Amino acid sequence: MLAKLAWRNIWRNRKRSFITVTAIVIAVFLSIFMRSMQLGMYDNMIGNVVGSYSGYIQVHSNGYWGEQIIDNAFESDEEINEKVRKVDGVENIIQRVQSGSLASFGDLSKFVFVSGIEPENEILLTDWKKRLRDGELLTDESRGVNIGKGIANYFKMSVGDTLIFIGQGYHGMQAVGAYPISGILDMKNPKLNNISVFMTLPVAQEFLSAQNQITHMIIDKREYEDEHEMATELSSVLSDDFEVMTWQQMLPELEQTIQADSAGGLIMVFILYMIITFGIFGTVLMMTQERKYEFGVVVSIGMKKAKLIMTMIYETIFLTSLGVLLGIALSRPLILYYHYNPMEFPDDQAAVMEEFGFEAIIPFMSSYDIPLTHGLIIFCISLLISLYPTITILRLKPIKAMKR
Amino acid sequence: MKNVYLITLSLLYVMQTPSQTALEIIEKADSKLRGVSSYAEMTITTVRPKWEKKMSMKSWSKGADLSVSLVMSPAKEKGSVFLKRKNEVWNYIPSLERSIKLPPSMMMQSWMGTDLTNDDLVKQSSTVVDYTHKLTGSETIEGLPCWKLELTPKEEATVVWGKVIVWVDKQDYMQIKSEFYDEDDELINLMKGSDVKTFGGKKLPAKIEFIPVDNPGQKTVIEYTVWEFDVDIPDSYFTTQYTTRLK
Repeated sequence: MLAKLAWRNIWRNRKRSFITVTAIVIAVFLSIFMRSMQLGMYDNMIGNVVGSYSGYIQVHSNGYWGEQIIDNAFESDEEINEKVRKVDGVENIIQRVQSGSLASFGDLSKFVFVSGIEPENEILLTDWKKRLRDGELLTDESRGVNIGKGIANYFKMSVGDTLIFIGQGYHGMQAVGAYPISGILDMKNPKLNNISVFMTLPVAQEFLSAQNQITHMIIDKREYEDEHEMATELSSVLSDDFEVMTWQQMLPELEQTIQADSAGGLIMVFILYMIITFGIFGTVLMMTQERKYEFGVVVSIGMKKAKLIMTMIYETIFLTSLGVLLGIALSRPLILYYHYNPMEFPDDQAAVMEEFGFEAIIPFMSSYDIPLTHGLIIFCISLLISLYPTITILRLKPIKAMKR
Repeated sequence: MKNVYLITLSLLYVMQTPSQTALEIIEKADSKLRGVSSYAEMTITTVRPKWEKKMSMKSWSKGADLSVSLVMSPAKEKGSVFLKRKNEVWNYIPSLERSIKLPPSMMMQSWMGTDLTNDDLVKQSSTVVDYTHKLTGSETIEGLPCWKLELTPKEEATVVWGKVIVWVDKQDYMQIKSEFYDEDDELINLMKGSDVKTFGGKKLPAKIEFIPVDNPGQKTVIEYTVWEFDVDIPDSYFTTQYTTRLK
């Protein structure tokens, strides 16, 4: 009954309702749009660098992170692997051996990072097929190498050319070798594209004279597991000869960039909320003042104040729900569009972004978390604002209100 | 009175004998290693706190400008050749079947993982020409009486050291010990010779240690097993074409 009354009230003055709903729609739309963009960008950064390359947790021989040289490698040991697999949340472990080397083709030479990987295991971490630009991916039996597209561009080489590597191997051995390019990859990260060379673990171990040695053990975690808890448990399981690091420790600049940017984003959202709050409050204030006479009449003919308040609250709920749902509905297609067709930076900005090692696109986050959170927040704000008419009604003196 | 005179005279005489200048001592020590040509076999041991690597080499040299070394072991590096011609270094790598000229940027890097740099192979910045020499005293090193000389690089010389202190043995003019200081007078590298043997009629330390002072537990030891001088080596040995045929 009261709800029906409220519903009718809304349609009694369409212009007024329209203004309120519009204010809410804009608020919801803007905050969802902004957060989706920001969180989507972070997600992309983390996904590109952490999820598919460095992994959420890494285990090295103690001291490797401080001095990343092949001499700080450790022996691959099934016993240790077994221990690590038993830790809660560990999905899989991936072994790599990595070392810097000089690559040379024709008259050009360039510093690269040679990684020996277990191709069939790495595919579990990330879909390498998406990265392949040309040629074919490594398999466990490959003798060739896959290189980042930045390297291919630098040397102007294509699949089938032979790249020469000269570097320092394990324990002072000379590491030299010539390997055919079997595939060119797009690592979705300009920095990685410019230095990444992949070969299979046995080929790399032979190249570096590092039999059975690995430098990185990458831990693939199950979704939604907390990497910090896992890292603590791993360190207690492993001896002091190993160091366990989370991606936040390995890539502090990435985390800091995200934190700083995210804080900036939150401030923007907060300012947006302030504006919205006063916008909605303004319309509600106006509305309440306008309807004071009406309230006076209704109360004086015998309506209970409590019922009147309930009607007002219903009205607010209807209006804000309408606004929030409309806002979400409007933002959804746009966000889904940008999720699948990421926004691209203009060229000059793109160059700056790539210099920082980030891909110059913003795929929006399509998760329902964002509309849900922001819809709810604005809904709560509206409810809070509906306190004003409530108070007005409580203090209402019908005679005074009806005086014109 | 006459006795006193005699003693004074003989004392004076004794003090006069090492009347050679510092320059002469260095020249003699230097010429000892710079025969017309030489052939040597050696093992080079790289010592690190956690591991050790042994490498054996053969090396031929002619004058100061030409030298070539062939790695005999370990098996994986066997056949690698370092060819030095004047101030160029070429590295022949058998697994690539080609010679690479080491770029200037690589000159300061470690030579085959040892404590020597590629530049150490080439530079031969002459202890005679590039420094001014000062005799600062006598000391006994490894049981051998030695002259202690202080070498300061001349301004125009391309030398990285601030000063070098060299101990040269009085009898055979062997450089027994050298200390390399940087511009702040801090000791950076130490070179020690020991295990004196006679090679081709010359007395020389068969064992030479290079010790980078700021890296504890780290050193490179060169031990000569064969060292011949004035051997006949054709010039063709010192060409990039010949590297594959060295034995």
